[in-house]
Amino acid sequence: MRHLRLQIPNYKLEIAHCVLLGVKFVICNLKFVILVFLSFNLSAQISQPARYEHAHKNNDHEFIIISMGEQGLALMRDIEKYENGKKDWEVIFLDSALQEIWSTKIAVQQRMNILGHEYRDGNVYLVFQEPESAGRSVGIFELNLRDQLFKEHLFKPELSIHFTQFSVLKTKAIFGGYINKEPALLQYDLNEEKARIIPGVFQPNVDLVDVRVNSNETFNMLLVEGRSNKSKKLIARTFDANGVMLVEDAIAIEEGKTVLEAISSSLIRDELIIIGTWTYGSTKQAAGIFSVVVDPFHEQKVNYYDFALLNHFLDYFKPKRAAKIKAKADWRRSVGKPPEFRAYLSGIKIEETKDGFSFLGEVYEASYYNSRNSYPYGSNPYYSNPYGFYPYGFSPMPYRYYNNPYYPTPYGSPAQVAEIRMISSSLLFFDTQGKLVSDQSLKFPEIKLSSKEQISDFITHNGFTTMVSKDEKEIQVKVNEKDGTTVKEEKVKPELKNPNETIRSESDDNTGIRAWFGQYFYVYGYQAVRDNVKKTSHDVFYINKVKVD
Amino acid sequence: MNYWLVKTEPETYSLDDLARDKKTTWDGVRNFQARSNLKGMKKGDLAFVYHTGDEKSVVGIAEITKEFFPDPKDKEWAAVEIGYKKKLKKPVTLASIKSEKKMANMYLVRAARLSVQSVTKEEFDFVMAMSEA
Repeated sequence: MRHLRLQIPNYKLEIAHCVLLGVKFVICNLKFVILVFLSFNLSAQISQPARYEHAHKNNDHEFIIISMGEQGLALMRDIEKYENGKKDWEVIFLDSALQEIWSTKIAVQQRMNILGHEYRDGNVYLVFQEPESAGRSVGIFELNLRDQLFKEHLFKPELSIHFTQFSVLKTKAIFGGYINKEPALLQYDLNEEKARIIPGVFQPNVDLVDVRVNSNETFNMLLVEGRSNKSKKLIARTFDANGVMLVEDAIAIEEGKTVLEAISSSLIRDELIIIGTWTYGSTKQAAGIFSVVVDPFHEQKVNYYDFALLNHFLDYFKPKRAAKIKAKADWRRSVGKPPEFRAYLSGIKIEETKDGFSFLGEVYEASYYNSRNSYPYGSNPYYSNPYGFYPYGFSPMPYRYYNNPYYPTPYGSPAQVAEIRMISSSLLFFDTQGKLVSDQSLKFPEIKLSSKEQISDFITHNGFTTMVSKDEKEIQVKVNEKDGTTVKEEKVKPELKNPNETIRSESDDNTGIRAWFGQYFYVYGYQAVRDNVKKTSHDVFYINKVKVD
Repeated sequence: MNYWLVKTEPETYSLDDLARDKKTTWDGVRNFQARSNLKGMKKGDLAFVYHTGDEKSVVGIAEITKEFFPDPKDKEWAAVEIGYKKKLKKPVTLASIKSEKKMANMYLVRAARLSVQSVTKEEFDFVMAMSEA
């Protein structure tokens, strides 16, 4: 008893001491947490330092936006004015403060449709083409920002090419595509105004998956050989500006696996990496991501990662479901069975950093309907719509491979996409050897599209990654540490600059957000804006500059 | 005389290994462009030895001592014999070559991953000058 009695006050003292220590500990930790929180919040502030508005009527065509990086943005749209068999397109150049610096009109052959665009070295290149029934002539408009001049090039390819890729290297326009279902490269010399087919590219049973201009005045062509064979290869060819092949590397794809999509890096780093999606069987859904550094000095082993191996890929599911998928995938992997979980994933871009590479892809669900009477390819470039608002455009990147005649049914019958439901964005980081280091994800709100288009993007800054997407009204922002730990999530409305104005409505069709340069994004869309003083409303196309500090 | 550049992973076979061996069979090349270059090598031609991996540098010079013959490990492919010539005064890194405008057309800059490359006399002399600067 005594012992107990003596013990009781000691306990009290100890408890009091512990409580005191605990309070001190909590205060110290709280201070640390607050410091981290404050310092992080100070370093992840979203601001909108500039806005551009352009009056927009209901029946106006929407703008196509071309990023010129730090030089600003180029906007273009069909203004439906016809004269002498031509129709006018308006092109507006904005600087990085979103101030208009040049506006011009180009007269395009009336029957030509916009096919692609590119910005390179101070020039914007716009590509148009007549439909097959009208001869398939190609028009390239070369707009020089510094001199505020443009030049039109017109040519007709000797052979009928189904274009899927377009880029510019020095004074050469490079087109990738297919002639009679075999890959082809066409080069148009903008100085000499001559087109030629680059020899040695035609090959049966081969898919063209990427054409990309490198930082060292060369370009890559990426092919998948053996579409229906057991022995499949990924072929990386690098050409100089004159179309002379400098090097070709063939990388074996593991038996039983199929490459669905692939993108190459652009030699900002010395290594050429190829990242894409793989599956097995003849399904259109990917089973995972693959990566390989093209390096003839090593085994050139392709790294295959099934989606369940990624830490955050399945975050768009409820935790219980994600855990179940992971557990099942772990078991199947351990007994050598292929993964069961599959998803539609489109590759958006590869970025090269001092630590390695990053890859952005978007997960979506597609509902298809088959049509025997439809265009004989899986996706007609003139009707596959990367922007969501032009029935005939294709972006030179990153959707170029969506215009692959074999996509999205490389082995099956022609199919048309009925509806796309965007689900999540997945960002993967690879080291210099092409090994996966970490991943992050951003779950989208409910976004439905009539065709696949990019709806998310990211930038890295001060050791953090900011992933963004845009729905009808808000910019969705998620800030992660490199290992994928989320440190901030918020929704931000595009800001108006006139305090007398309020947003009445915003179109959910034609809106988006893209990484621009440095720590900037640009967000764009169409709004009905009300002036509360004048009691008037007007419709505008807007672009806001978004800064991440 | 023609000039070449052969790439090697120093952990597998380095210039020091070549210096020790005096001569070696340069085999294991499995790239068509590289094979064509091996076939184009003549006895007495000089080749830069380039270390890949972390080094990424031209480190020395070898001499072609025997023109192409079938790769002993796979007759479909070609091999040559090279002999040790010299070690450069200081290694010339890929980054420093890339930073020189007049080297923009060098194969090493345009198609770095090609394992056997041709080098022009001007490029050869320039890299030599860089190594002695």
